[in-house]
Amino acid sequence: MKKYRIVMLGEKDHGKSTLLANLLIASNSISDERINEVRAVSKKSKTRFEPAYILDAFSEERSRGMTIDTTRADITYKNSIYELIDVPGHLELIKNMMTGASDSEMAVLVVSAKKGEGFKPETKRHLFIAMMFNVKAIVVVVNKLDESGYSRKAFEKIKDQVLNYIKEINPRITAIAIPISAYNNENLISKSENIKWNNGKSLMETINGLKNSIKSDAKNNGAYKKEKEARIRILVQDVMQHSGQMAFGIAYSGSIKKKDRIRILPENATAVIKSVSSTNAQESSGMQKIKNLSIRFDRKLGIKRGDIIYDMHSAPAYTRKFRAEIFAINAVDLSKDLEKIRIVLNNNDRNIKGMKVLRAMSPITGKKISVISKKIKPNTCVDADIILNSAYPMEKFSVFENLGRFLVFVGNRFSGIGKIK
Amino acid sequence: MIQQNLNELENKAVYLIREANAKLNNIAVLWSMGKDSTTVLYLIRKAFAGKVPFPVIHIDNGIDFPETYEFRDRLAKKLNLNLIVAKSEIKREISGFSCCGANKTVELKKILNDKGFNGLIVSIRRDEHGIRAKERYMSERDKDFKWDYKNQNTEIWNNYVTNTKKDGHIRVHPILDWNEIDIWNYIKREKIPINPLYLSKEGRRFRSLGCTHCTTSVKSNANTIEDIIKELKTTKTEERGGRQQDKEKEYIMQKLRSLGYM
Repeated sequence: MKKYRIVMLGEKDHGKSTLLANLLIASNSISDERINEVRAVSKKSKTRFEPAYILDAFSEERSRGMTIDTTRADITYKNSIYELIDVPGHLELIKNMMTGASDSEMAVLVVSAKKGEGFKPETKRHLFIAMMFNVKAIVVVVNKLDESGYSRKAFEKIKDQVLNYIKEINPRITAIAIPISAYNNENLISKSENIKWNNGKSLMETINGLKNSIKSDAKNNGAYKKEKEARIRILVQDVMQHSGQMAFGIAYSGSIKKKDRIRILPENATAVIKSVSSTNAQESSGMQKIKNLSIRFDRKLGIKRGDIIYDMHSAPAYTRKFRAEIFAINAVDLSKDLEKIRIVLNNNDRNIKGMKVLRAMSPITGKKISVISKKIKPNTCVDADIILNSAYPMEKFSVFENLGRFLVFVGNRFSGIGKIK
Repeated sequence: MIQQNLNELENKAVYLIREANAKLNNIAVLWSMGKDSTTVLYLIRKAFAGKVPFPVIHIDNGIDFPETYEFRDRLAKKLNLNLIVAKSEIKREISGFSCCGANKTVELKKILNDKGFNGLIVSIRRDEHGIRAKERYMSERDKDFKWDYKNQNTEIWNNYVTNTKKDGHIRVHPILDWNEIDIWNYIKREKIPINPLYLSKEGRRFRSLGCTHCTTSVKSNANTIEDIIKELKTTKTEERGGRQQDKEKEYIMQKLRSLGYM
């Protein structure tokens, strides 16, 4: 079955873990034993049955009533698997949130309609990060309708706020809003009697519909896509001596066979493939995008981890200067930190020689903020020109996303993510 | 039980194993001769063109089943494994927390110290336990094997942090995403040999294998891999139902894991 990854976003206490847990229960995706364990713990601590405990398995998470770290759980619905990724809503835990969000194709954003809760600045930050990570569709679930008198007005208000924000940041993303009560299991899989005014689909029906829209979107690119797929881009993970030189790599695009002529960067060499094998015993019907390869060449090369193998007709950029969009979670002071900054690009640490901030914007207001060129504020998105210590092969994120993205560390501290423009 | 796409699972596992071997200079794999860690041995062979290029460790408390020892020796020979058998002593009462916690972990610490391993491939799966679902693919342990689960490393865009504090190591979890049924589907597809205790004998079989003291068999007539897969498609019980150490009290798994248990 095809799997889709969905990150669950939203503020602390707006009900993400409860929603996920009730989806697991309602779709029969969890064993009775696991539910009973939670029942027993809830009883012992004399609280109401707390479905969120199914995901919040740490004792600290249960006693503090919050998700600390990301959890994944699978549910099946109409012949697809949906991997739902719960992430902490709390500001200080943003790096755990990013770990959960980075490989998701869709997002479910939970916003509580309860008085005093609603669409918060922190929620905007989560949404912004998810869109930066390439989430292609978002379901906005307006939660706790049971605690707001199943009010249509409360739903519409949040719906307008959130959909307008998404449109402002990225108009190409498909977003749909639906009203639910996660705790009462209303409108999750089947529709609710209490939300009769809503004639839209339930949450799972909506997700299922969006899944198809993601697929058709990928097909829309036609000739360009075909041309792009013909390009060979293999990232070298490791090279070993194994009865001669053998390179292990991951093919992000294209395919190679024996006797094919290929090129390698940064070595700038040309070689002929002597043998190549994919780890997959059975090639499935084009479902997998990436392949692990073991390759031998007609002669000994200076090939190493981080190199890119490519075809004879198109080449990746090979440069030390590039422009990037960066989302910083911590403050970076370029006048003091420059020597400590490293980016992880194509699985390798690269040191930075120079960096100039061109533009900055706040994900919370969606507005430009003033640039003090040597400083990057925490939780801002900047455009910057970066100069590395030496040249490396790379691609634009918009063309080959796997080869055009990087992580930013200051010392050992994770400080942000970047995309090559 | 949800059946996932085996090629996707295999791709990710091979990628993780190759990353671990490239980034960590001295790694080993833990092998309990169970279905999960045996599957991982075969994934390692896939990653490195038919070889397991680093040591394979069995922490042997001396009370595994005879079938398990026989299976170990047979497969180690067949796959030409560099097998390290570490005998662990059983000092206190044998069950759950004190057995797996004190005995096996102590022995593992000794080996890591002696050989200087900075990476250890461990065959845990997210679907086994709520706590294991919180794990990273590459998870840091300090010199005392403590898991700082409140401050885990980021894992973004298939990039994994592998530096540790002094004398710490990285636990590598290549099959974290796999479900029990995926393991069996893969064993079937790849024709991976299994410990015979998994197959039904006189109406009972082992669904999860530990040592003789803390594992019990379950009722089952499944005596082929196909039967096991069929059985799992409809089961309502948990895989580790026959494991004592998961059950002693709440959060026991969290405590065990934070102390270094697998």
